Amino acid sequence: MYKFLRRFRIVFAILFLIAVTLVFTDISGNTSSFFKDVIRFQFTPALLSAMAGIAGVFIFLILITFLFGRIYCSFICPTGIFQDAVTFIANIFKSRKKRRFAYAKPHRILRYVIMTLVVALLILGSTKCLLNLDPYSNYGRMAENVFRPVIISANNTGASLFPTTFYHINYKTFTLGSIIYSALFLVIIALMSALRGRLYCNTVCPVGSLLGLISKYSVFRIAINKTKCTHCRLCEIACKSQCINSKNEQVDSSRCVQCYNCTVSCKHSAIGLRFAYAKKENKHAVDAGKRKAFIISAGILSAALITKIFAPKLRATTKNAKAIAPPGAESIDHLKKYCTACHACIAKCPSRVLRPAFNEYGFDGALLPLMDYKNGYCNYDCTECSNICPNHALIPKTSEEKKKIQIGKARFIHENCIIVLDGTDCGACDEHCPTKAVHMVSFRDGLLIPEVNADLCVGCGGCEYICPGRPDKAIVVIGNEFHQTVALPEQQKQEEKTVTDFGF
Amino acid sequence: MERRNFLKALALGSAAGMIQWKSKNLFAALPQNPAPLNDLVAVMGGEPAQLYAKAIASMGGIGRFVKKGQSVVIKPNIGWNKTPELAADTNPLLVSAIIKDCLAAGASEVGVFDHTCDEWRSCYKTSGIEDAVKNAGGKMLFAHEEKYYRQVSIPNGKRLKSAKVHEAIFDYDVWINVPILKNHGGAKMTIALKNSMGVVWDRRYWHANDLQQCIADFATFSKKPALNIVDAYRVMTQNGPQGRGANDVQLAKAIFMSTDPVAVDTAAVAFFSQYKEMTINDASHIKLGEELKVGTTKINELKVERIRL
Repeated sequence: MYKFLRRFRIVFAILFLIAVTLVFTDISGNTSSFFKDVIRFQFTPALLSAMAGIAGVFIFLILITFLFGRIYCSFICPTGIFQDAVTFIANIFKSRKKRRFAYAKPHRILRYVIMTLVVALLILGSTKCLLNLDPYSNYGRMAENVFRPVIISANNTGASLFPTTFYHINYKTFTLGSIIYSALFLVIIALMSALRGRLYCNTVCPVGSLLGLISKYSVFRIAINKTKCTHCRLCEIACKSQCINSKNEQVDSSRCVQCYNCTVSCKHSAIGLRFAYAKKENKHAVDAGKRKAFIISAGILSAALITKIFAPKLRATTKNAKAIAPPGAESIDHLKKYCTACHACIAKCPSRVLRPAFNEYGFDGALLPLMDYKNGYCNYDCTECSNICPNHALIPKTSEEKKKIQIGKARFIHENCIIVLDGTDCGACDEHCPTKAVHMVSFRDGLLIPEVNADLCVGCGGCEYICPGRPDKAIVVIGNEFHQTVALPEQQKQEEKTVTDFGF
Repeated sequence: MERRNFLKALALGSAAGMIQWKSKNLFAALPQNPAPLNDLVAVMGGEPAQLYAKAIASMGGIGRFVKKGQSVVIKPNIGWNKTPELAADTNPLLVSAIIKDCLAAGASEVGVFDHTCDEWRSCYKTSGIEDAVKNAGGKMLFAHEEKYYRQVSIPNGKRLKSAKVHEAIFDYDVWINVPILKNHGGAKMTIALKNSMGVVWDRRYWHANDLQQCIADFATFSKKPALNIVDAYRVMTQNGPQGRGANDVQLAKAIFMSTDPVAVDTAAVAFFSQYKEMTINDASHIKLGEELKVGTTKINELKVERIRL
């Protein structure tokens, strides 16, 4: 039975990891919408969606954790599964002896203090801390910033060999900072898991800590049958969470990730899932570490709550006035409150106009998705980013709704315009404007010059992108800190005319 | 000194051009039909495929331009992520009819591409052209990256001296230019001459260096479209080249065809002006094209056939 359970876990996890990875690395754009729901089952997106009022998945995840413990960590969490894969591969290169895990003491203070800090900042309306530690978002960034460029380079090699089947893709929208940051996490997580299994999950990961708190009270838990146990330590050696203490027959449920490796290692079927509310409730003495962790956590939380109550507008919004948040973000504040920079939107943007921010949104907005019209502009009909976002940081929009969102306004800079400087026709901005917010009006000598009607502008950046003005563009989009609503462009009625002559 | 060189080059260039022209005409014309062929054909009052069939027959059949075994590249306008009804892109039914005709005439293969303005995959798809091409037996070519373009010099250009041109223009034997007739905010009109802008990589340079002159300059490039087919089935008369919606479109059910891009543009502008005021002086690249001897605006001096279905 446990053999089957463990195999099922492995197969399920591998398939899930592939699906999540595909969402971020599908360069053809064909399969990723098929898999896009897998990222909605991630804990952090579910939590933030719940904060935004859509709590279904969150309740489901809490419920399964209460029933079966941290199965999220082994079945669903991409960073968790990725670490298991690294551990597995590392074991191939290790001697038999080196492969062995051993029980390790919990780092309670570290775990719960990190978790509380994350929660405290969430209460204060910032995902800053969560964003850096969340296993899903970190995996997303790894896939988008590290795996994707590798896949693209493989594709481009293919495109050189088979030019009619594969097409070239450029790397213009990747940013070095984000690549380095994501690669750094990749290296750290790979090293940690190669050496110590699920160390990250049980010391740093805020999701692991939170689910650990619930799994302590889960209905079914891994436990050792004291009458059968021979203290052979096989289960302890197999435990990548290092949470089984074979000597005193204890399993730390808050760290157990339900991988079932221990259950198949035991020669006497002494370890396995047990219904935890059977009869005896062995009360442990509360140890000092636990108490300290609790006190510190409570302190941080109350501080956060007090700050929230007495200084609701504490966070100084120091940001570049020009920064443009993607459609659906509603405001830069909303984005900072809900986005954990998983980069799913960046991966999905067909026009590749989204890139990770540096400090455009201010320091606390680093890595968040930013509209950048250097290499492209936002397609008028496209709603990919808002519909892929699992966090509700970008609120899902239909094409019709999106056309009414103004993320910024175009500003025409007369003195930079080719038409003014050279006295020749241009109109590239007008040509690219989907709403005719930018339109041509009479200038001089039969020339036309662009004019902006900001009431129609959606801030798509078509004009800024194509403007040939050098060194400075003659038309730029200034972001709206709070997105606004514009009317759909009025149809310019014209009479249907039947022409029967050729005219020449 | 400079002027002398320029004149020399001009003379050489046009001489070479003329020889090429002649030999083509000779080949096609000599065996069967001694009567002079039409230079410009206009057809109105039918569906895209009908219009095409009538017009190409009047031009002497596709065999005049595509020889057995030759490869053909078709350059429609696929600039925008818009459906065919919105008339921002060339009609897919027309593209399909041309491909089928080329293949029937023995073309070895037919490729289709455009350097799109909107994101290329959505343009190819939404325009209906990708599906039409596949169903007709043609092939969509990639044109979204600089890698697919080759640097060439344009010795006879006044402002545009060099450009990066899509590789298919060189690799395919015959280039057929298939614009859609539209109003245009920058160039005033976009027809055959303007449509060729979509075979080059850096369009910003054109906008920054006298757009109208650059459009005319590029028409002097040594490889020229063998045939220009102007889709005027639906005509965008205002808010071009993208349009705001169906209200910007008139159903005109016409087609224009010529070997001369200046002549076909002149004819198409005359047709267009029945809907909205427009002259070839406004769309000045047409006049400039004539000055560079790319073609003629004096269509009355050409052999023209007008057909009503």
